Amino acid sequence: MSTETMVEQQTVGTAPGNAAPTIAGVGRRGQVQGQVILEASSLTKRFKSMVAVDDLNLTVRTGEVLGFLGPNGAGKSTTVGMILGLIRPSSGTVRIAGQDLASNASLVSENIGAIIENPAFYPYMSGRDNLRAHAMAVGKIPESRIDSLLELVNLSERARHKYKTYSLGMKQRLGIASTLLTDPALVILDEPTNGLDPAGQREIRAIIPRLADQGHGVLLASHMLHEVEQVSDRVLIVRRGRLITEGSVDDLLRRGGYIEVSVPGYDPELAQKAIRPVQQIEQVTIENGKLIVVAPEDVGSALNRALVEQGIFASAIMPKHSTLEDLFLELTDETEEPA
Amino acid sequence: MMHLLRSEIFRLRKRPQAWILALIMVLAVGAFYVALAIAASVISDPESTEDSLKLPNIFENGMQIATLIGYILTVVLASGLIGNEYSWNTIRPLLARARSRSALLSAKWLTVLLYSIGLFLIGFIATIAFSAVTSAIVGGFESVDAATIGDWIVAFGRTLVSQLPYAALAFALALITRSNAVGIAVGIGLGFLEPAIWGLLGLVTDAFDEVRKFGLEYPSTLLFNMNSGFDDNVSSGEAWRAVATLGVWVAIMVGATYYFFNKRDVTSG
Repeated sequence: MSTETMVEQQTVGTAPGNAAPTIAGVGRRGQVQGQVILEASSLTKRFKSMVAVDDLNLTVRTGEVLGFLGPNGAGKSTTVGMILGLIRPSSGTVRIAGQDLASNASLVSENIGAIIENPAFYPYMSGRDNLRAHAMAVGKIPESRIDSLLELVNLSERARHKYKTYSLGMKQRLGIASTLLTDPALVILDEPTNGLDPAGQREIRAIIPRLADQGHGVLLASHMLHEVEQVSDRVLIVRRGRLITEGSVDDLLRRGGYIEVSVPGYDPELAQKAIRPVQQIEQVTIENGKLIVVAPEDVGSALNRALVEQGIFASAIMPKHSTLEDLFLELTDETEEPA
Repeated sequence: MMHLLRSEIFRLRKRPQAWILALIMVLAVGAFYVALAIAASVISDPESTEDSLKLPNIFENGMQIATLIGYILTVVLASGLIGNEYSWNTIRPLLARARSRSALLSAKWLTVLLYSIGLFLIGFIATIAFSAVTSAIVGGFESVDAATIGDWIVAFGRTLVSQLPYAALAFALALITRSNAVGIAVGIGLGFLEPAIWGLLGLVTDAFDEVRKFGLEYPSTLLFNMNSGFDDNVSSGEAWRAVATLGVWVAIMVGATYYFFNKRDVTSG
């Protein structure tokens, strides 16, 4: 199927919630990204003298997973709380589906489904009854929707068991089913894999991109870097309530990339001198007998040619990407900025 | 708001506590009448005890028990209806579902009111049933006329007006402190301690005897005693003043909950 065909199909009334799917881009998995469903501008929250969130801007489009990264205490949950209307911003605005949340509190229930930290349900009721209670609170949600969501999160067999007997993974999956009850344009998942075993984490991670593929915008607040790296289209990193960087995952990963050149049997310092004239090289260092070249990936052949001209034959020239973890640790390094 | 109310009542219906409290009410009333019936069958002069079993006298007997038990149970449930939302962390997803905080709070207040009325009604019906059965067994069954039923309805209304402010107090305190335990402790504790507090303050100056009338206990007891026949000399003016005083207290409690619930950030719980 061509991208154009996919775009056409996405735009004909398939977007969840109230979001009108104006095409704005294509995500990492080729999914269509539509209109801005969430726009937070200059969001600030002060708790007495402490600034929990400081002049934060973020947008989420339908069909996009925005990874919202930050160490514990960075202000992620406070930001989510403000987006959901649970916490009043000290300043700044939250616009949902183009409308100001401050003047219309019902925008949250109409457009957003959210798990905040840990899923919370009534322990004395079954998973199914918990979803029914949520569905009743909203109204106009058919029973068949509840059944299909239980199926989606693989809870049909345990649907009639009491919530208090569920494992943490089952609770999280029920939470995700609950967020999707209203087919919201935006799904907010705040630390959705917290406390889960690896199998449970994998299950949740598998669900998240599917949500975006179905046209939901997803705001994934997490400190689990590999999780965000795997499923997000864009990443926003905050520290102490302030935005420190933002961009597509691919761009951010490229930002910390380098080329590793192996020259076994040759003097690495000679090799270092040999490639210095190559243009676009920003930096060359020697680590463990290998050359670490900070340069765009496409200079690999130029490096090889320069080495061969000096009679040096490299056994490997490999572009290396840094991980989001490297970038995150570099950006959130506490030694950079004293408290 | 009707959606939220439906959801509240659905959750209440599914909540074992709601049914257990109703069962406690029925069992307490039943135990009282069974004990009276046993007493009537073993004592040498059972006339007054047999009278206590009879239908026309239910508000002097079984409904006293139902009112006392109902007061405690409604405090427990009212407090739990909001306090547990905080302890289970369900308040945040619930707020995210609600069109507005006021709508959610209104649905909760209505649920407290409906459940409290329902619980006292169960106590009332249980009292009638046990009174009829035990008096028939002991041999002193007496039917009631329309005028007595009319008196019952008025007395039942007085029971609600005198007891519901304590449920409202428990709900309000549980919400303001985000604690189920505080709602229950103060809701029940105040009912028992307020007379003692006023008594002690009355020793300081007689002025407190007048101030006491604007508390919860005085008007509540006044209305309660009208039902039990302990005080037949209450004027209509005094009764309405008691109703108004309790109404003002309930309005303050309701107002405080709307103020705090709408104003506060929900950062945890």
